[in-house]
Amino acid sequence: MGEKIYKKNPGRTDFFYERPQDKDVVCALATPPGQGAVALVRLSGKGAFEISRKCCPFLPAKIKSHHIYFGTFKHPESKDMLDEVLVFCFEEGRSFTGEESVEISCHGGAYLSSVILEALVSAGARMAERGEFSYRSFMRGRMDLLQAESVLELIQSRSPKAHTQAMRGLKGVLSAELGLLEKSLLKLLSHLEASIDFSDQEIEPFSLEQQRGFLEEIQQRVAKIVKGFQQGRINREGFSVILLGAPNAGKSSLFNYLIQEDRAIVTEHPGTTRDILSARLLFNQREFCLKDTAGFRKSPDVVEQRGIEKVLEELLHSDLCLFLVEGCLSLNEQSLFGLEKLDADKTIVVFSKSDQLRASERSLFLEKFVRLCGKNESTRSFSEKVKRPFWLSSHTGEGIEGLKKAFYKESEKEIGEVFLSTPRQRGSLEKIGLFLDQAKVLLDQGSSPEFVAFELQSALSELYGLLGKEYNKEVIEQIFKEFCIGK
Amino acid sequence: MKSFDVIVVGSGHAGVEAAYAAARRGCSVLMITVDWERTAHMSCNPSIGGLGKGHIVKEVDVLGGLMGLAADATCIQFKLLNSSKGPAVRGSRAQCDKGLYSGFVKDYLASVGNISSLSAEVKELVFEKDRCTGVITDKEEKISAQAVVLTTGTFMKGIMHIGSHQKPGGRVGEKATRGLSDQLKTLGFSVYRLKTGTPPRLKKTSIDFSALIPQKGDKKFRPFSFFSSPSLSLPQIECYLTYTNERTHEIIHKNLKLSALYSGAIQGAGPRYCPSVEDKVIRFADKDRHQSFLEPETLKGSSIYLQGLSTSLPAEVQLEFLRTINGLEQVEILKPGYAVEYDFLDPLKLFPTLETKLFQNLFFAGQINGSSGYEEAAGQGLVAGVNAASKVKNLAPFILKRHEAYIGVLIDDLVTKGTKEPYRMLTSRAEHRLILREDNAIERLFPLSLEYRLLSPGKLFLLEKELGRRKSLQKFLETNQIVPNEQTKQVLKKWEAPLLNKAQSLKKFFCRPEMSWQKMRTVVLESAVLRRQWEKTFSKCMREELVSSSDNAGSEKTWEAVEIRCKYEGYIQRQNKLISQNQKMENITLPHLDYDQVKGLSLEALEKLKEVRPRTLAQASRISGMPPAAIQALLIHLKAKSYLYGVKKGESDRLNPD
Repeated sequence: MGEKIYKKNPGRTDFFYERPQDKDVVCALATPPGQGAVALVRLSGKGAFEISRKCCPFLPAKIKSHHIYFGTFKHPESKDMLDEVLVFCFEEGRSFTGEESVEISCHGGAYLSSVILEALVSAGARMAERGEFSYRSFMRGRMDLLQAESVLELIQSRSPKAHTQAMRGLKGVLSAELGLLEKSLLKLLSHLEASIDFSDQEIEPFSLEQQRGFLEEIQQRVAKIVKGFQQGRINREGFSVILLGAPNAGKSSLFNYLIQEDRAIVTEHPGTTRDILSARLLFNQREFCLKDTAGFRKSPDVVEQRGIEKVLEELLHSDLCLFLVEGCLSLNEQSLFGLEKLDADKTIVVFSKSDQLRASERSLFLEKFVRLCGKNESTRSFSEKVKRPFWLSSHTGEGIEGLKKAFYKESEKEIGEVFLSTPRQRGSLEKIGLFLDQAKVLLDQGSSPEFVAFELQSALSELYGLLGKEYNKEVIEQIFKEFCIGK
Repeated sequence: MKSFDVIVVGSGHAGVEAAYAAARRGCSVLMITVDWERTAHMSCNPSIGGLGKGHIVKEVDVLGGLMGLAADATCIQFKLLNSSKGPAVRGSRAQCDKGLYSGFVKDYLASVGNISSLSAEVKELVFEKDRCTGVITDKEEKISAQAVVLTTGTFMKGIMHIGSHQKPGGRVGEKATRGLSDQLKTLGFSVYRLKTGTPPRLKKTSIDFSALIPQKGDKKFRPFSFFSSPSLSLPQIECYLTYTNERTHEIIHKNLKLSALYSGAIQGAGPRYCPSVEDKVIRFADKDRHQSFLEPETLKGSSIYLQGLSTSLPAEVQLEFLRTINGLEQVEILKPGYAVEYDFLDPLKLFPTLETKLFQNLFFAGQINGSSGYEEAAGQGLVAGVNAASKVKNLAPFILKRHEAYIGVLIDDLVTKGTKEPYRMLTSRAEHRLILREDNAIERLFPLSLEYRLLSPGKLFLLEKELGRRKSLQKFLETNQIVPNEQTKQVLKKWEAPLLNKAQSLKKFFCRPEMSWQKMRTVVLESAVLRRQWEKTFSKCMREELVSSSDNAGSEKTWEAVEIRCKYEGYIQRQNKLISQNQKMENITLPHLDYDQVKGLSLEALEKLKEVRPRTLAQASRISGMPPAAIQALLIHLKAKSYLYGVKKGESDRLNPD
């Protein structure tokens, strides 16, 4: 970004068209991620100054372009002091993108810059999509024709990929939830629309009471999604790994070994651990959150039962599951209890206490494991795991480094998704929540259905923005599915 | 050889509006129709308007069309549908005397100097290169024209089905045209089949009306047309309601294989919003009855239209199931119900002006484009007629945008997305529904009517005056205040309304839920202070217009329109914001692009763009299944081109540079 780019040149704007999202202030890390002395976070879009000011209260009321400011960067909500930063301000027409922009130079490290980005998102910015800065600067006439082609390539590579990426991010619990949300929104809307467009027909759309009940369910659904779906969670809270397995499989020993602290009580007696313990582990600049749990077994003990329920709940909030199977030849069905509840893609199976087995006994053990897995349809896929068995000993340290690496590899997969797509998704969901609240107010006031529909349409088109669907068509299809209409 | 500026083929609801619109713009017009007697014939239900449709009629009216005038003059029952709902979704509907309606239109057209008519069938279109220059009739007469508008309705290869009995024809008693559709097919138009149906017509004297539930119209008549008299000219009739029952359904079930719809004789897709009674009985088997309205087709005649029971069962089965229905035990059928299958041309082959992409100066309007309904036909006819005249006189094309009119939504949907079933307007099709209201048709379309000279100067003056009244009334309410004095208190007490504790603008006060424009007017006229302001602000003449009794159409319409604008301001603003967001994309016209040169389009997107040839970037984005990435690729292409060639602004604004 030399002198040439920052020259005052408004560029041609004849064809400039702003997509609604082009009006957002976007932010992203401008320097390569990872370790470094400093990192640069860039914000661009009208309102970038204002958003920065929420995090950098030291910025003056009237910011001067091409000036550098120094001060403490604070989280806009929690007011936590996060870093000491240098802030470079560029007014509209005199920046890399041509828009009002801010560059924040903070200390290096993936964690710190992600915390800073998260704070900016809380202050109202949105994570930039891939190539978005270049796209904006091209559209603002800040780039020449030669560069245009490369922008196009970026955009093209972005769209299919971003789409699959977004779709991947939306998969699992979330996409099921969004699917249900879409369905119920469509249903309610089709009842409202039918009551408008076919009021002269003998149809029975939802009564006001039903509409209200239905809407409340939808609101709860959205609230649940927003709550359980926190942006940059991994960056903020660490990548969570839950340790599971039969009692006495060695979970607590491993836990202690990994954090190098005697946090969990380790005894010979199965079922010692009842509450969930958690601790942090730093590896390769990334934080991991380990959770030690009560062993899985059928138990008459009420306290232990309750503990197992809690574990299953915790499982939903974990990014990775580490299932421990004790390496001993008395391996039986009890040792695999609970494995059938797990998703093979998100599970690493390890064979603990490997020091108990002689090398010759290991293959015998693995055969037995495969046989046991094969017995049950839901555990069959786990027999694949023996192809590259994970032997582990908290005694000798065998496999520990490899395990950490495996954690890291898994976290890489996850972070790519969550980091890219989540802030926008959360923003959209929050907007959907607001539209629904407004719809509820209108319903309670007894407003005419087209106004309630207007709010629901806004909510649904926001959702379709996330899902990449066409709004109008779906609603009309739904009306005809639902009602017997005819003159 | 005879020669005209514009030839309109067909004289249905699309044809008459097309002819009249072209004539209003100073073209000499020839209407060619197989049967002049059937001009503006209401071939199915006896009503004009309804939800989404009443809006279209009002739009046609402000754009100078005649549907509203005709419906007002021949109305025999008026209803404002959804009157308990908000203003955007209320729809006016007039049941009309079919004979008088047609007569009104015929007389009206006869009074227009430059429209002639000819009873003949058009067999063939004449072309010079890629330009349509006239027609050849079945009498081998060649007539030339500068533009041709086809509004042939269901007549192209029309086949009527009554049970297993099939007969070529567009409607009962009228013959089908065959040659045209074959010619259009060979010329490269995509021809598809659609079907529609109509219920049986019953003999009035054979019905026991005492067993039916009478249905009255509204007490208050609200004419469609701004230019109609606010009082009705015909006596009003009652309609009647009855229901099918399980015995009816049993008979239909038993004879299902005899229905043309279920025997497989019909291939075309039918309208989902207007299923036959066979469909209803099958698809909604859990319903033990279906409603049906008995609607007189004329004031004096004996034919009763049986709304809701369209069917293609054999005539004797129709009689059998009808006689199971309450009140119809002795019924006699005048004309059995039937299904019609007909050819329509894929509307993707049209520009939003309704000119074909394949041939210049050739326009299509109405059911030929896959739409359904009199109002939808009229709206298209008007647009095609205006544009045919534009073409002849070398004037600017006339395109209604989606936020300007339901007609704009209709045509944009057809030419951008095509259709698979007969397309009917629904308010839910309009994404800007809250500002496409019946009450503001004048605000929305007056500027266009003025620009394209679609109304006589006298009528334009009347509309302009009304707009002026609305504006000043609104300003008056914005700038004057109501104060919490003794008088105000008395009035509010009388209405049992919450009292006022501090002064507020009249407009804000108007927004109270208990306020109506009648009350507002009382408040203004009874308060000494406000009355003084009122007299200071408005001229004597305008005051009279604003307070006169309901005999003056102006007064009530003005107050109602202002009330709506005050009360729903928040929503109107939000909707306007969405529109202006879209506008940027709407304003980027796509010059005659060679899409093959655009880098980064998927094959699917490329094919669709080549087919639709969208006029604006916004239209491109509305094509079904168009990925956002393709829109960005287009933008980047345009941007890059503007660098390379320095495309001038005006150059990209042209519709489809030839």
